[in-house]
Amino acid sequence: MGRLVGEDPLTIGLPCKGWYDLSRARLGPSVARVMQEITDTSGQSLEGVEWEVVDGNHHDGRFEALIRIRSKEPIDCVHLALLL
Amino acid sequence: MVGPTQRPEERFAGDALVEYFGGRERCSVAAGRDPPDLELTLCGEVVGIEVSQLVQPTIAPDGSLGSRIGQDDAGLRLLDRLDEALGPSVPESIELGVTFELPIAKPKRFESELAAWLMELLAAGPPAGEAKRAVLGTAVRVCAHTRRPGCRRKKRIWGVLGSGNTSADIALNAQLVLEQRISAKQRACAAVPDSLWLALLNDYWLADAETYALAARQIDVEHRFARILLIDGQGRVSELETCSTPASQAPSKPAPP
Repeated sequence: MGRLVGEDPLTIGLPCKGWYDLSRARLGPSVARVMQEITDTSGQSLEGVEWEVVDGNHHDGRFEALIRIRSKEPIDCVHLALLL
Repeated sequence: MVGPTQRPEERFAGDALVEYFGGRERCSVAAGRDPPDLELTLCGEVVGIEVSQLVQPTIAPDGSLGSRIGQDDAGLRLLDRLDEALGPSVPESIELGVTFELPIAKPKRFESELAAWLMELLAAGPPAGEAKRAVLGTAVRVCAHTRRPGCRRKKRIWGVLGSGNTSADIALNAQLVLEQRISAKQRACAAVPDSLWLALLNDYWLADAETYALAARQIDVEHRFARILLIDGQGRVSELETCSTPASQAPSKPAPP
């Protein structure tokens, strides 16, 4: 996931910032799996959930994209790390 | 096996298509005459295959499209130059992660001012934690990360590149990039007399095959490709049907191996 570039691939191009509306398109399998876990845990369906990439970081040898989840139901707004 | 002159993405596409059509017992792939990029031999018949990549589009204020890969490459080269020039000055115990958004309006001046700031940070002693600054109006964050003992990584300065001119609308992106790539390849292959297929490698990993299938039905683009095959990063192949696909050339499922 993400685009790792360079011969020593430590630089990554993140998805753009902004809210992704899951009702209009399907996510690639890797992101969809993460989102499914989030929605399964929270009891939400993917249809009611939007997410945005807030930032990128590097943590313990792995890249992370910080994404914010928003839904119509109780998740409201949370932050979590999406491993890239 | 595709010849050694093939680009990596063409080799990847060729291998994925051979697998999809039943393996090397049933078909083979070789370099094409460019165009097309590849020639697939399937059940004794040879078909030309043009290969292209579906990349997240950048969208300029005037609506013109660009390539996210090209934009990211510019940022990558900038960071590599900084690593080459300043990496040896970074203390052994740390690495510096630099985060900013592309595109940069004045890249040479930006690079020069960013280098000056990094030198300033390094001159003040081993950087710790996080520092933020606007460089020519672009927000830049520099994080010092502890380097693990025994780490063999050469790079001491690396980056996370965001994008300020892309859309979060996955469906729209899929439509835009699909239409652009099919049109471009239609023009590139105008002089090829034979029947052609188009293989599209999906680098825009947020969109999956189902999204592209929907996008293909929503765009209106004239083309001459008898089959359009989508290949994802794991080498999985699916077929796309556009409105302008001639009925007589409509894609069909591959015969079972």
